[in-house]
Amino acid sequence: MAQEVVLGYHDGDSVLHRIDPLTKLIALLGVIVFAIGAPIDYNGWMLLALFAAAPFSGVDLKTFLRPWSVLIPLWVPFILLPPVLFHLQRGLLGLAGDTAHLHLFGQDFAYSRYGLNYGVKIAARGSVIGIASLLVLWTTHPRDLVQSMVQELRAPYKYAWAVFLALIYVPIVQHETQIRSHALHIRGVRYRRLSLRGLRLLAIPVIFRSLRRGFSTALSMEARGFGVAPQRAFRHDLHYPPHVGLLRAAVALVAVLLIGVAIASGRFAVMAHS
Amino acid sequence: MPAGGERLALAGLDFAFEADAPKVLSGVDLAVHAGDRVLLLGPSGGGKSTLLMVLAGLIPRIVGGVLAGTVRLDGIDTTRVETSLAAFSSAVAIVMQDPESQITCLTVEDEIAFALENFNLPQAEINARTDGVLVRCGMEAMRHALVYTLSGGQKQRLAIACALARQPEVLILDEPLSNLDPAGCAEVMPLIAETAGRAGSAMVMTAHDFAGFASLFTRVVIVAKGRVLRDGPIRAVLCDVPLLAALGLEVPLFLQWAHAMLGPAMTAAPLTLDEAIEMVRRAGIRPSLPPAFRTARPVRAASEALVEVSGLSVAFGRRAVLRDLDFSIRKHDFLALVGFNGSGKSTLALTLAGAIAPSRGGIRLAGTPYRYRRGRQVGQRDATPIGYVFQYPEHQFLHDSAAAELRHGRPDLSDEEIARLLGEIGIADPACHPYELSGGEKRRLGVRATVLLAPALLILDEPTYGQDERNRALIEADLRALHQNGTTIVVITHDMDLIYRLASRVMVLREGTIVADAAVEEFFADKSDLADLGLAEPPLRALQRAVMGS
Repeated sequence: MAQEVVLGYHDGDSVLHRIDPLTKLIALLGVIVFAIGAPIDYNGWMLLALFAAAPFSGVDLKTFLRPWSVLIPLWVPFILLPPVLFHLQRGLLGLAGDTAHLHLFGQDFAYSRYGLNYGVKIAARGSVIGIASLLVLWTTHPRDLVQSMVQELRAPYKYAWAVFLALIYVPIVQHETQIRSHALHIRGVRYRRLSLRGLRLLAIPVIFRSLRRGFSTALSMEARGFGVAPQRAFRHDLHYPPHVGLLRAAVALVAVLLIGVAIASGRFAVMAHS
Repeated sequence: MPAGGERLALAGLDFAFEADAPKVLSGVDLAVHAGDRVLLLGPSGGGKSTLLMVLAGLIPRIVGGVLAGTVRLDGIDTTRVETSLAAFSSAVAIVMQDPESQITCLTVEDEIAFALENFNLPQAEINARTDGVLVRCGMEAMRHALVYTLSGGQKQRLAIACALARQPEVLILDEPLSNLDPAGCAEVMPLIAETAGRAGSAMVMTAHDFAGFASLFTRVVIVAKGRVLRDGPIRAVLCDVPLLAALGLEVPLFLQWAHAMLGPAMTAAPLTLDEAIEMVRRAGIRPSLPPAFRTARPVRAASEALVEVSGLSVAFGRRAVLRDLDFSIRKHDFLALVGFNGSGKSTLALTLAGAIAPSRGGIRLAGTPYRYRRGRQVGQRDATPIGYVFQYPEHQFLHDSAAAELRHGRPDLSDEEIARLLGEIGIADPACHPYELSGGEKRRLGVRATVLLAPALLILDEPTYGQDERNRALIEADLRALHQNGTTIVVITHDMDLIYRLASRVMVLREGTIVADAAVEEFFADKSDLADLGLAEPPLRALQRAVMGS
């Protein structure tokens, strides 16, 4: 019995599935640097571009929308708190930005326009990086990623497997959480996920089982000869899309352009200066 | 290695997990020779799993502890000579008790190839062995399946397939069949025996229920309280039925019957039902059924429906798990939900309990339709309480002590009653944390805590998994009493005897649809379909039929 997982590989044969892991990692690197460095409106365009790329991942709309149930609540404190905090600290610390006023429910709320801008930027950057990473996660088989790291990036296979285990543990932990949540429901336990009691009831058993499972998995790996041979075979050769060299060059060029845009926007200079 | 050559040998072996902890193994002498197929028996907590980990080289190389004595692998004393785990892992393959926690990869075929890749075998050989074992173990159709979508039984089959693909010289298996459906056992066990039967190979296996494949073993070792109590040819050791019963071990029914008929005249244990009947006949005794081998079948009382399911379908993403089910469960039914591993039994049970919302169709409980909020059934609970025992009981524990688990929903129980109730299921310390209990104790605590609530509908997922005979009898007694008091019970199980002794009705699922639904007697009357449905005739019924027929 297993329900659909959000934070894990989705089997498929979409355009993104057919692109090799290293090419996708180059693209992801470009997007992450761009998201951190580029101005807010550029990140808005990037978010739109990622939405446009979603159909090429083969992931259904429901799965694509599910992470937003986490991302949007995360936005709220990021967007609401900085305007208030910046406003409160403006007089004390002399922070930049002017104060604006919002008339709501018959009350006058003062907030920092700079703070609001700052909060929205963080939310947008987080969303771009989150969605881009999920697109890679959904369409990249962890085995291919390991193989790519070992054969192309020449990473020691034991380290590459550490990445693999981290990736496959996410759906396992999600599955464990689902079952525990079923059990709490059936036993009539009411709790809020974000409360201390909810964390104790939901997270502690999942952590306990996950830790024990981690130990058993290590035991099982060693018992099956993991680390015995200096080199490790792979069952299949990596599958590359046609003209992979050309594709990688194009993706690398786009990544460099994105990084260039981020640098040109001056944000990195500001960060370095500050 | 010629047959009879020593592969693994333990001499004067003591082991404790910590220096000041009691010894788990004490003075163990055991040699495994090429050609040996050893059945390791013993009560729960007697040291079997620890002994297997020593044989596989995991103790003390990965699992720490204080070890004294010698462990020889192919003649080399590995406690004196620095022997890496590599030496063990290339010669010895182990299948551990919990199949779920030994899975490492994401898909079935990757999991099978994992060890072969570790040993850096040529790619062609890895693929040939992987493909071969997938076909032999009946897993070809699920080769690309994601491992976390597999049922418990499928995971167990996968763990066995992984070990077989390695073609080990010594195969060690810790309760490898406890989660498999009867058809799965019948399919996998000959493959295990075939691998272990190769020239120079050996096998050591623990199993509670070995009645269906006793003849595949050559030798039995009984371990209790960390010591070897008996070690000898299978027919000689199994002859001591009173000892097996005194240790709380599951004695095959045909062996109990042969012992009841022959008494001390039984000098060699039969290994199959046919052998038992033949042995009794040869002794000049007319086969008959003593009272203990007759059944008082529960009568299916006609009453109104408690649960009504109509057009029920459940899908996770694009994967349909249950398809258009229509059935009802009457009050006081004892329904056994069976079928191949992965047929959707656990999903149906969770849907009946209201934890999963159907994609289509609906459920009515005591005439009231389920309502759902955020994918969960709401209301209903107070009017018609539902109890549920999970396949892995850790999921359901809420409290920090075994006593508090029993008190959940039963605050009226006194300390004395709690101590007695826990003592009955082998838990001596009421204050111990449920997670610190052994697997068997956790399961018994989960069952007992739920049974105490006397719910109107009780759903149990594999309640007797991994239990020895004594504890299995305890669980059965709890269920029988609860049923007699009016609780409607739905049990998912592969234990055919439990079904035959307790259930009033059997429903079989296959690929998410109901393929059979009948009263128990009627269901088992036609044996021809059983294997096709992944089932087997209950041993008690087979014995009754064979004896009456003879």
